[in-house]
Amino acid sequence: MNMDIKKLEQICVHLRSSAVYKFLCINKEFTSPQLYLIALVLGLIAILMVKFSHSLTPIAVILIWPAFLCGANAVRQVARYGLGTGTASIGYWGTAVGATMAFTSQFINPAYNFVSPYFEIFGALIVGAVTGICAQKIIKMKIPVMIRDSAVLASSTAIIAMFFLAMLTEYSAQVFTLDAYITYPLIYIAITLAILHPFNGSMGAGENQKRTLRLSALEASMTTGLFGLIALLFSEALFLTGVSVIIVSTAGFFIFVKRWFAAVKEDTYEFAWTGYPPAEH
Amino acid sequence: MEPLTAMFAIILGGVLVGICVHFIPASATGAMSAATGIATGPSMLSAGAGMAGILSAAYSMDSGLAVVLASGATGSALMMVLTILGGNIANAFGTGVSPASGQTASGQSILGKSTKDAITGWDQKPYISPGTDGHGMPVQTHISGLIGAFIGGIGGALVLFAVYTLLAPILKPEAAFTIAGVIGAGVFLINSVLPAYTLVGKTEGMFDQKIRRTPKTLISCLIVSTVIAVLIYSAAVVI
Repeated sequence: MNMDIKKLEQICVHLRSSAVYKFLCINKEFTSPQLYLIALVLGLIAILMVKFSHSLTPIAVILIWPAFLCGANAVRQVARYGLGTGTASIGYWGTAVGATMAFTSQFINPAYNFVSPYFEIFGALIVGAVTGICAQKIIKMKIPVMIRDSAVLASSTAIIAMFFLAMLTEYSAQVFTLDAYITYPLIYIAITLAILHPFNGSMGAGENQKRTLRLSALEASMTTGLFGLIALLFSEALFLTGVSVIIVSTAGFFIFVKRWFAAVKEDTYEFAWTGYPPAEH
Repeated sequence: MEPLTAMFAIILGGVLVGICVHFIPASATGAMSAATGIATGPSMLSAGAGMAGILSAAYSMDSGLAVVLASGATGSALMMVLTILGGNIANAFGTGVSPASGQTASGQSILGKSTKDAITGWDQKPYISPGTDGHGMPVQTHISGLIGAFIGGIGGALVLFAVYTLLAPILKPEAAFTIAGVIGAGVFLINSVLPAYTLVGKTEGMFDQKIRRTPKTLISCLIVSTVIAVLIYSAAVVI
């Protein structure tokens, strides 16, 4: 038995020093470009998968979660410098750009549908970058990551909005994206809350990226679960999509809530057992 | 309205929204009655006023541009007046402080060294609680907020009308209406956050020294609104 435990410990030590562990950046922070690259590639795959076949939506839902993480990280990067506006405002602003660009997809002539979702996502990237440039060069804000993270924030919210628009559509059952217009305000507010809250809920002296991103993943699964419920109520043709999305999102929710709570306990262990602040013992 | 005119209307609406934020008194520390202004960030308050304007403008959509603009401006101004009234009631009867302008009391407003309210002529200095930068919304701040909300309401209504004009020929009326409203609110939020960067989270309105930073906001909002308007125009007309 003791031998088994020693072997297990050796395996753990070996794993911790392995390249895979380091690549997963468990001890080091993800940068915005890294997260954006993951969110963009997986997000585009997710949108195209849903457009190709609605039966692939449960898998696509998992691929859209990194876009939430990317948006929440962009809010964190910008808000950490102390904005002239609140964390809530920057979240609302980011989603305003992303969702506004995503909703413009409804104006595009069906003959040119192939430009979607690239037009919306890169349009949001451009508007985000231009706003960042104005803030940095004209208003003279002293936030070095302003241009990069404004663009990343706007674009990641556009990816999420485009995914939800695709998810609430079933062309074979004549449920077109345009029919989903009554859900636009909800899409807007739900994305905003999932993007701005992780940093707002974790901020303070002990804030770190690991805990913020775990909270973001948790809120991403909650948001996709909510849209699964909306799909369920929206149209009979989306019944299976809705149920499968709710199941996958619920599974994700339980995994992420466990991981997030572990991070919370880890960060507050000094307080957990004594009941007194560290300075008093 | 021609599509190209609608594009320019979106730009003008965005710029008006940006300017309106400078006039609306807001301060996060106002929540503790420690500064003059409504107790929230300038961008969120302006966005709230703008959305009220868009909602009221939506009711008069069939009556032509002039009525839409007047309706938007009135709805937005009404929301602002009621918010200021509510804030002042909370300050006077809840916290127990009278509305007073901190900058005017310290002689640092754009009125120069005068410590009197620009409209009523009442001295502000005796009413400032020690350790605070004013509290509530005195008359000059109230009027400034009213003007700001009026400008913002016109801007929001203009964007709503312009986007609706672009969408009406290509979408069914309910869809065009809803999407125009959501995009109008989006353009409002985008343009109301940029001025908040120049105001650094706090302003007393048009009598605040920060009103001098309006040109920076104007240029920034002009650039951002132009990019958004061009993209919306491209999606609706070109592609």
